[in-house]
Amino acid sequence: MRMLQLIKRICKQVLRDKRTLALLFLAPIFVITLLNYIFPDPDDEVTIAAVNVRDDVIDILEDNDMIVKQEKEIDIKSYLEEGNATGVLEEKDGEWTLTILNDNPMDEGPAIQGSSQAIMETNLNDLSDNIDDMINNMEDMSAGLEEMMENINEMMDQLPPEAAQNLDINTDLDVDTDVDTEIDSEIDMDEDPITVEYIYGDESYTFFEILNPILVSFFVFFFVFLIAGMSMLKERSSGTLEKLLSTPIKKSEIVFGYLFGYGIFAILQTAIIILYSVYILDMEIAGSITNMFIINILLSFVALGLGLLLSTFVSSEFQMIQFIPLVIIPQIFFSGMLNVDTMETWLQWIAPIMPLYYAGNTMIDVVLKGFTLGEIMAPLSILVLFIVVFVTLNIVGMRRYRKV
Amino acid sequence: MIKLSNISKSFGKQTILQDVSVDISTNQITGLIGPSGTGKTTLIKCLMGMEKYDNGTIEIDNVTVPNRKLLNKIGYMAQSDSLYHDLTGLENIQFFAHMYGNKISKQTVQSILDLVQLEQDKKKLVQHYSGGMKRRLSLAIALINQPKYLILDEPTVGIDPVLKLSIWDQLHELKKDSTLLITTHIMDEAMKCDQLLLMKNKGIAASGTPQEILENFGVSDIDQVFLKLEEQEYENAAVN
Repeated sequence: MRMLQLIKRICKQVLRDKRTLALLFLAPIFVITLLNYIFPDPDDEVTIAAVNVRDDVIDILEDNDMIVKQEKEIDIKSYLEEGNATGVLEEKDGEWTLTILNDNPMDEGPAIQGSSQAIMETNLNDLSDNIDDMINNMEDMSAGLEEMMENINEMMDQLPPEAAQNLDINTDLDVDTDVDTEIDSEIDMDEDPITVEYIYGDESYTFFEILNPILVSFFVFFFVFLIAGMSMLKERSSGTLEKLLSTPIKKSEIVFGYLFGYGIFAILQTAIIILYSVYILDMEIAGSITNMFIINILLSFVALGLGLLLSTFVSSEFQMIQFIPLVIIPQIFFSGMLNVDTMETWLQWIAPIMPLYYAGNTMIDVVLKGFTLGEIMAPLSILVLFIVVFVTLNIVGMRRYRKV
Repeated sequence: MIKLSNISKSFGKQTILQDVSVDISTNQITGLIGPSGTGKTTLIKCLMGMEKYDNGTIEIDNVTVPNRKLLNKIGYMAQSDSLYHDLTGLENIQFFAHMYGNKISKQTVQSILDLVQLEQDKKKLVQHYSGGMKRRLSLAIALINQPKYLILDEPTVGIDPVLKLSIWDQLHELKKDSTLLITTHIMDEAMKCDQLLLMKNKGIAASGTPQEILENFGVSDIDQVFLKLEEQEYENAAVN
């Protein structure tokens, strides 16, 4: 009963605070939208400036969806600084040089890849042309040989038969004039040299597709942590928590009231972020959307518990903000964006104490790999464990204000 | 019946209360007075079960503090205004009323609003209240559960003289059903109490009705009692 009243009060307060509402619901949507468009589309074309480059190389570059600008005399550095192209490709005495600024790996990677591919293809073409030439030469040679044989035959015919017999030339010299010219000199360059098989998803996946599920979790964690922590801090510093504890309310009722009161908004926020990502931004999900909800709702309760707990150790809003670089930012690194298995050993020990490590990686498992509920049970139970621990610590922490 | 026996409390090395024993008389207004930093608020917090006392026992109606259920019988007003600024006055009252579990009637709420003269402003957000209005609202909230024991920590700070008088009249009205414990350092208010507990040097230096105390010390106002106590202290120090 008291808990319900507490929840009602929290709802009333949040709904009256328009800024907090905006922070909860509009801020994550804004950032996720921004990210969706900020990463370069893999279909985007890369511009390359070609200096003294043969036409056939340019053709291949263009075939590989690159925009080629043909230039003669340019100052490469200023040309690139002005943003005219991503890279400058030059040929000098058979040596190829691609110059890049090296300040934007997102675009320069494809430029390097595309250029080297084009040159390799050109070299292959040259090689097959050479082979063609060789074959042509051989054909010419064999044609000459045939002609010679015919000439000899004619000469033999004109000779008197005795002389011809004495010469004993085997005119049936079996010269195989049919050099096998069916060598497939046109190695098919249109096909990819290698076929990439995708176990999860397809080639249309961008960095955003991998980042987005992690970001959904990150926003849930970050905003819920901040809002729960701040409001509990306000309750502590304004003395209302003390006043609340002068009533016969149980300490656990306060903690659960807070958990569920802010939990309602956390769930709403999670729903909006997920639905927005899936239906408006067309995030592809291999697994079920329900599992996404389960992960993030559990995570939001972890964030609530942690936010409430950390507010015990601070005396001002600014001190609460100081926890962000300490508690929030490091969790991003372990949330699935980078592979924890290849990190230093001591970092691998840190990862399991971070709630976002479980949530982020599980989100990737569900969204990209289509894991089922059964397959993500282990990380989910750990999130539940986090909630239990934080709730218990919060209830114990209330002893600071009342001993029973 | 509030009974404190041999209460001691220290924070770290600093002793705040030492061996305090006192009975607080029922249906009386007991004033807890003394210079700031003498442990008035600490004593109250121990009484509420908010602070743990190191030694001794506190009993309220023969139940040992701390006890959560006892809080049903206690109304508490803290030194600072512990109000939700983003709720209206009425919402604040209603919220705390619900915290006492059993239904509190509209009439009770109404009579309390009338008592603190906040009827007209009950629908205003507390953030638009003046200092005095907030103090009155805090008082109203302390009264909401019609407590048997009313503990008020400096209840009249920031309240204008006219209202202060009317509040004191109300407090005397309330003592018919309740026992009141009030801290103050405004000495003329001390004279309005039925019983006084003078706090000095980690304990209670003198107690009795205001009149008795004045006679015992042979002075004409309470401020001088503290000066006398100070002098005694010097003399004792000199003797030792």
